Amino acid sequence: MWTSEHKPVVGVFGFSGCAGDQLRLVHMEDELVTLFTTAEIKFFHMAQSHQEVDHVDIALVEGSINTKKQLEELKEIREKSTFLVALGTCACFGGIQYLNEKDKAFEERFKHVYGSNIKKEDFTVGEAIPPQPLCNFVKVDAMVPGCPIEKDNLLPIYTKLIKGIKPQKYPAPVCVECKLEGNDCLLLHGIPCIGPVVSAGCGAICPSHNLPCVGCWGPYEAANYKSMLDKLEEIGVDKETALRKLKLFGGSKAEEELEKVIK
Amino acid sequence: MKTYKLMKEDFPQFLSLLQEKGNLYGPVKSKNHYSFEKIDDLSKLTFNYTRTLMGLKKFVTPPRYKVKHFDKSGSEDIIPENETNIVIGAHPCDIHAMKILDKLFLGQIKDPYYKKRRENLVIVGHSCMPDENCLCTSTGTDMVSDGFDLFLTELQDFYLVWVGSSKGLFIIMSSEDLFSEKIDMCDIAEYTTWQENRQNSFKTTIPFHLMPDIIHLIYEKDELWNQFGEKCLSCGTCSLVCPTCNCFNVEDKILINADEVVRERMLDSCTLPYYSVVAGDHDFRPDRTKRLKLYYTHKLKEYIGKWGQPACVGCGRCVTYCPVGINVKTVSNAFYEAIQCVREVKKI
Amino acid sequence: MISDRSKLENPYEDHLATIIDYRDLTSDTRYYKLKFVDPEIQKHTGDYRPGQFAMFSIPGVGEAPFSISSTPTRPAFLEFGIRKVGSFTDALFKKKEGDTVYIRGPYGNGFDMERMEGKDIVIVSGGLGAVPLRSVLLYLEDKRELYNNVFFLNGARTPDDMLFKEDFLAMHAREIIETHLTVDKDPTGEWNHNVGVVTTLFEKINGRVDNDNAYALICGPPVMYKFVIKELLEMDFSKKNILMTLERRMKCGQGHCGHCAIHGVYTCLDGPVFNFWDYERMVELI
Ligand SMILES: Cc1cc2nc3c(=O)[nH]c(=O)nc-3n(C[C@H](O)[C@H](O)[C@H](O)COP(=O)(O)OP(=O)(O)OC[C@H]3O[C@@H](n4cnc5c(N)ncnc54)[C@H](O)[C@@H]3O)c2cc1C
Ligand code: SF4
Ligand code: SF4
Ligand code: SF4
Ligand code: SF4
Ligand code: FES
Repeated sequence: MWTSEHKPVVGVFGFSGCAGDQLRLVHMEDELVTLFTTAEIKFFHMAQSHQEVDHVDIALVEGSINTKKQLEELKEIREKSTFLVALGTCACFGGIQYLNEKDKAFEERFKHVYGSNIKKEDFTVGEAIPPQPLCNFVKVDAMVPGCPIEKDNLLPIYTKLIKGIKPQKYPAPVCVECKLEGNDCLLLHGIPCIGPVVSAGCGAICPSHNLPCVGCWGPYEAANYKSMLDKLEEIGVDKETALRKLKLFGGSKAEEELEKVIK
Repeated sequence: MKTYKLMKEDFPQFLSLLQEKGNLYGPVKSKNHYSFEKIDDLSKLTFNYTRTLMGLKKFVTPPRYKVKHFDKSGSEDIIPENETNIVIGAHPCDIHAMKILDKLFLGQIKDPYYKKRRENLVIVGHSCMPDENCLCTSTGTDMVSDGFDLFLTELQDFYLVWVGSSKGLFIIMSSEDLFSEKIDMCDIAEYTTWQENRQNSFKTTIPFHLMPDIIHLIYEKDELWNQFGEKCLSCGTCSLVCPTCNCFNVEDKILINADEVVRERMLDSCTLPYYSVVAGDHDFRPDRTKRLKLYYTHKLKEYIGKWGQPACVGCGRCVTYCPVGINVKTVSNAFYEAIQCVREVKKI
Repeated sequence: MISDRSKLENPYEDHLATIIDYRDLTSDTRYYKLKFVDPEIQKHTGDYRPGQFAMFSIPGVGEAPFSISSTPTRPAFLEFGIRKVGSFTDALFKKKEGDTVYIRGPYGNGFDMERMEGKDIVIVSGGLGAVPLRSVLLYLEDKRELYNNVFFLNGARTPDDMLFKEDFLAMHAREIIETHLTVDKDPTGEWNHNVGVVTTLFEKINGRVDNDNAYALICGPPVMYKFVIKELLEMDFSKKNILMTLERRMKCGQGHCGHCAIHGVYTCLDGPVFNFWDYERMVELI
């Protein structure tokens, strides 16, 4: 634990995402006062230079890495921080924008929207690279997925980190929370829920409202994509739709695993 | 066992009596399934049901509960207050499952959190009719003679009320005029006819008695286990809904607005990936097949060896709720079928 | 420590203990000496068997099991040897002299020391395995007259990796227990004991153990068991007298949480000490 005189410094950094997770932090009214009294919190905007940071105890990093410049900044943040936490599904797994990478139709759509005079490069800050989750480049000490993150997921980890305690992970899929919420299973009624391959954390909100999970909390560590695909097929989802569902929030992990399965 | 007769027209009054004695819980329909819920409106109660999603375990090992509280002054155990929770509508398998949990939590070393919740619980059982997923005749848990406080067998115009404990008797005594000890020959005939009819309604038998030996002998034949390991989603459903699965995990939470910590227990499952991971990230059960082996050897082999009965009460929850059809029925049948061909070869 | 947990109203009851001494054993492993804060509890400090373990608790971090490394014959304090591997041990390593942790226990079956009286005993440890076996060794030193020949074979990767190296060198010098130490490699060049894996020490005791009346106690990394057991079987040790202590994930320490189950046994209740028959019966033991 930190010594009692030391007030931990928390840096909040944003890369490519919607900033929804940072907003979520600011919106924790009940806890906000304590958040700011137990730690010194600094927000660093995307545009702001990260050079002015010399050391943070905890780096909360939102968004995926989309440019070379971001990658350099990420590496710098890693060097300057004790604990690095990936905040939100984009930072943890790549997020929706990960689809960008493998989607051959991207250029075409881009042209359709912006015309052929504007180039893709003009939009990015520096040279673009395929969107990737943080863990593909640096060591990530803890992941808090969510789109946006849920206060009840972040707080237990945050309260440990500001006391210098490493949080332990115990991965589970949405189905666990779904059962604890007292739902039976949508798959049994032919509704294409992908909860079995998605990280728990949201409290199974969608299945609790009779809506299938679409996977916004990102992939579950022990996801069995082969069996999930077979099950979706069994209840009448065609392969293409099924793959699209699994990839939507699945990021690089889903992509890799699905490739193996299809082979 | 003392047995009384309760006329159906007096049943509502019996329910009100229970409500006076404590918090009443019972089966209600919620969305696509049934569940034991707190009853404020008696009309919500449904006894014509087969199984609830979660059995009685939610009363004694809730999905998530606090066990300890720490602050500057020290640590304090969080043991529930004395209260009376009456659950009506439990089926024989549910009651057998509770007896299995009792053995585990109230054996030589008694779990204080379970103990208090169990003492607070009054179980009023209710007769049932099986569906095709009920396996309790195979596990020997289709009938129950203890483990409940009262048990109701629903017949045409009346209930037979079996008394299983002094708590149960006390409920009867407190409203004696509702119950009659006059059970005549025709009442008995009606009961035995019902009983026979129920016995004949069971569609599924599984050779559970052979499983300890079969599992022992095929334990290392991974091809038999892999057919399930490859399909399993590691979703935890089978353990969470199983009324005899007791595994829990423990987690500390630091409260943000104060210098306090609560230690919580939550239901766990041996099908989850980190169940057996120890220091140095060494994993004793790194794949799904190994984890399912634990589940099924525990349920169908080891427990029989230790207690003479499986740790499965045949409630059919895993049969109903596993999304990919891995359950005591399919697993036992697959193993049983696998040994059939060996026998034929031998006959020649 | 209250060894009969079934007598307690609350077997999860834990007690504050103060760190009265600690030092680094190796680069990642530390020695801790603890004393209960409550004098009433402190009186029962020695109520445990060698081979048993205790559950440590740090509020906000959680609980973790650690083998007791001291001996009940010296009941003034408890000693542990703890390796820093993750969340709990990280938090523990930040504690200093005078800081406290909660402790409950003892748990597990431990070694039945009375049963081994009058017999030969061979103790083999590797790496962290020296921690629980140190309890047995100190116990045997204190009650040496009750036992026949006692041999101690201990291995580590390098001299710097040897836990309790000073203790064991002193033990070697005291000669109450015949002690043989080895290291896989000696980069220091200052090691004047055996060099080679722990099984190379067996030639020192070959032919000197009364196999029919002997016990072997083993603890070490999983790979070590296989080779050591092979040696012992070649020496004609009885399978039920080869005892080993094992590790599993543990959340409760007393048969409730399920995590430590191996087939039908709970490592926390029926173990962590198992014999070689158990191993043959339960393929997943090691
Ligand atoms: C009977 C027994 C005796 C032990 N004796 C010693 C000892 O004398 N010295 C020593 O250094 N270590 C000992 N251990 C191991 C020690 O308990 C683990 O190193 C410790 O729990 C790791 O906790 P952590 O939070 O630091 O690590 P974690 O942050 O949890 O990460 C390290 C790994 O340990 C695993 N782990 C978490 N909790 C437990 C648990 N309760 N039991 C086992 N593994 C767990 C995690 O899954 C992870 O893979 C013993 C274990 C057992 C079961
Ligand atoms: S509804 Fe979805 S999340 Fe719930 S158990 Fe079924 S598959 Fe899992
Ligand atoms: S889509 Fe899935 S992960 Fe996202 S909120 Fe809904 S249930 Fe949770
Ligand atoms: S319910 Fe079925 S898929 Fe889920 S963990 Fe159990 S066996 Fe595996
Ligand atoms: S194993 Fe399946 S059938 Fe048996 S008690 Fe558990 S849920 Fe019911
Ligand atoms: S540690 Fe909980 S059952 Fe053994």
